[in-house]
Parts: sequence; C-alpha cells; structure tokens
Amino acid sequence: MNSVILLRDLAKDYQSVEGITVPALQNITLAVQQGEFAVIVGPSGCGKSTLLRIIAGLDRQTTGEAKVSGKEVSRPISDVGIVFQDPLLMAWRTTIGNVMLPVEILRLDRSRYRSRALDLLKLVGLAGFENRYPQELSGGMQQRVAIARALIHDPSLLLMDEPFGALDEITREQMALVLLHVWEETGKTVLFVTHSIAEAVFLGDRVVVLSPRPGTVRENTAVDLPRPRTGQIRGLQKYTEYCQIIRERLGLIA
Amino acid sequence: MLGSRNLAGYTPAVLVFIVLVAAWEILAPVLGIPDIILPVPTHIGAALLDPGVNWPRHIGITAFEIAAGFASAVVFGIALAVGIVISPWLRRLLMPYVLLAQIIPKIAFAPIFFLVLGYNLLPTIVITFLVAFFPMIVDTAAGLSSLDPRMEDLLRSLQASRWDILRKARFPKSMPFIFSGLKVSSTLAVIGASVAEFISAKAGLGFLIINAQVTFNASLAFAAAIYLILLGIVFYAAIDVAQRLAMPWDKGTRIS
Repeated sequence: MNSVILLRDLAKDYQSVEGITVPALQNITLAVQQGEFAVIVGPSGCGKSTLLRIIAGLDRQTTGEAKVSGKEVSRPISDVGIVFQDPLLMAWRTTIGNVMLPVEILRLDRSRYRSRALDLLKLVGLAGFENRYPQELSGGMQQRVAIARALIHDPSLLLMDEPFGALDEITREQMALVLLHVWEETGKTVLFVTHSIAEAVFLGDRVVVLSPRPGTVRENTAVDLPRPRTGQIRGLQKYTEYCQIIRERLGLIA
Repeated sequence: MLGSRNLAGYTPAVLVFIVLVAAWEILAPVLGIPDIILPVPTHIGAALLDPGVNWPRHIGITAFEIAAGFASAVVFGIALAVGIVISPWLRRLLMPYVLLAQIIPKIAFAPIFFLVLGYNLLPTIVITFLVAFFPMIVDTAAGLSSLDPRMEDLLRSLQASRWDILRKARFPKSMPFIFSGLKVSSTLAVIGASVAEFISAKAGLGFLIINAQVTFNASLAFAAAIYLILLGIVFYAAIDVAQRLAMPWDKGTRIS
C-alpha cells in the first residue's frame, strides 16, 4: 500500500520571546496508508495542530522529513483538504458559494465542479440548503459545509483539526456518523486530530497517541472494530476496552 | 433605511416633531422673541420656497462640493488603506502623514487653501476631502486587517496568492467596516463643505448662511441649514441603500 503521509524523525522547535528554543514536536515517525482513517489524540498543547500545519505545508519542520503522496512538503499543496475546529465560512457567501471557494482559488472549471458541489452537499446531508448564508445554519450544519468545501477539489488527503471540538455532544456524534459516511463514499485518506478518546476510537482505523510537550508519538493502536461503524459500536465491550487502552496510554489510569 | 412596514413605529417621533414645531410657532411671538433672532417655522418655510433665492443653484453647488470631496476621500482612503495593509513598508512611510493630516486643524488652514487654489470650488472640495478622508482610511484598514488568520491559512493551503486573499477574503470581510466609514465620512463631508463655504465662497448653502448672518436674515440662514441637513440625509440614505444592495447576507448588524 502507498503511504499518503510519511513522517520520519520529524521535529519542530519554536523560538520563545526570550530567544529560548522550545521543542514543540520531537521524533515524530508516522505513516498513513491510502484510504486509512488515522486519528491523533493527545492533551492540549502537544503540538497536534502544528503537526497538521506541517503536513499541509503551512509550517516547516525544524528537522526530519514530511512527505505527502510521495513528495516532500515545502509549501502548501492542493492535494489536501483541511477542516478546522471553526467552520471558517465566509459570511458573504452562500452554502454553495463557500463550497466552491477552492474551485475559484485553484482556477478549476466552475460549471463542472458546481454539480460536484451539489453532490457533496447531498452527501453531507445539506441538500436544499445551497442558497442559505452561514448565519442561517446551525454549528453542525456549518461544519458540514466546511467538510464539503474541503473535498470539492478532490484532494487525496483530508486533514481535520478537532473539527467537532466546538459542537455539543449530540451534534458531535451525529457529525461522526456523517463523516464516516463521507469517508466510506469517497475513500479519502483522513488524518483526524482530536482530544476526545471516545471520538478517536469510534472513528479511527488507528489511534496515534501523542505525549505532552514536546509531542512525541507514544503509541500506535490499531482499532479492530467492525465497519461500517454505527452508533451500535459505542455499546460494544471491545469499544470500551479500546477507550481504556487509549486512556492508559495517555497516562490517565494510574 | 427603514422598511415601509417599520415606518408606523416612528409615528411618536413624527408627532413629537409636529408638537415641537407648533409650540415654537405659537410661543415665539408670545415670549416676544424677535424674528431676526429666532424666526418662526412658517417664516423659515417661506424662506425655503422663496423664489428670490436661487435655491437649485446653491444646493447644486454645495451638493457637488460634498460629492466631489467625499468621492475623492473614499477612493483615496480605500486605496491608501489597501497599501498600508499589504505593505508594512508603505505603512511606515504613509501613516505619519495620514495622522499629521488628521491632527492638523484643517479649518484653520482653510483661508490658505483659498489663497493658493483660487476663489473657485476647488479649495472647498479639497477641504471637504481633508475633513472626510480619515475615517475611510482607518475603517478600511481595520476591516482589511480583520480577517481571521485561520481563514488566511485555509486560503494559503489552497495556494491562494496575496491578491486572491485580498479579493476573495479581506475585501468582502471589510465591507461592514467600509460602510461604517462611509457613513461617518459622508457626514463629515457635509460639515467640511459648509465650513469651507463660510470662509470664502461665492455660492452654496454655507455661503448663504454667512450672507444671511451679515444681513440679519435669520429665516434665510435657517432655511439654508435645513437644506444642508436634507443633503446630509440624502447622502446617508444613499449609502445605506448601497449597503443593503452590497451586503444582502448581512442582517441585523446595521444600525438604521
């Protein structure tokens, strides 16, 4: 299988205001295979977001290697779709207008991608909301628009930085199901960052536990739960056990 | 702007206005206030329609001065704000002059503008421009800088150029700021044009007010001031309508 993401001995340092070098990430080695749903879980401030920024080409690592689709990442690459915690929709654009933003920036054929945008909106459950403005949508719906926008230019990799972190529990579980549906339909490779253990186990083929600052890959746990996953999974003994394993690796069980 | 449905809510304000004007009309003679100090509303009304005054010409001249000064303030203000926001070098070069131009009491220098630029409409337009440009620069620059840095990341991740980011994100994001700048700037333009006319003009509403003062024609001064108010309202309302058309997504952040 092809590694869509390949990180080798990656490290990132920051210069503090006093000029002291602060390590944010250290010894990150990670391979994410094509079509895989990989989840990174770790405490606040472990450098999860920094890692995603490096993979997206928005930030440069200090040392080590970062490759996406076999190519060294040194600047932003359009083969990636990103979803942040905040939907970051443009208030002056309708739903369809927001989804079409990458098409305009990448100067792709608008009329061709418009039908793709409508298909994606249907896929995330927003058919009929094409002409609404973001402020007319709920938080969960806005995040669905953000997911459709991240996929419109058909990137092979979807990077998600705590995308459901600002949503309430119920919406959050709904969105997890929406995302799994999208992933099963599109076959994208997903790297999903979260601080929710339950979310990590429910979604991932694999859960990568990052240690606190400086972030290091502490453990790599394959989650062997049946697919397609439904709400039923959360009731399984095995699911609870996986959650306990992750808790243990995060040092939450003495 | 008010929708026609909401107009009924303003009935009390209109009634208060009518009562105040009526009280003024009745009380002024009773209290023995002479017409050359405070003319009664009916006399002002007569002056407003006085065929002996060439109102269309005076209103037209002042409206032209306001429009020209305001328009140049808008174009110059937005252009400078873009320059300041995209280039730190330009910011350091220009900001001291922008601040200086704002802090200088421009009205105190107004007579010099007439000396230098001649006794025509130009000095009034320049003074109007100088009085009105500052909010345009400051508000536009604030708007252009208001983009969420994460939105910029999102655009950069799509390999957006700086021009893309300006056009697709910074500029639309700054629309509410630009419109609030336009509203402040337009009211300042009315003040700038009328005060400049006080100093040395041959026509216009400000010129009429000064003239009326010299000839103790208080009704004329009031009438000219009322036309100035109406001009201000027309400019403000035009901007408000433009805002409605330009920002159909915006509901509730505007103060009518």
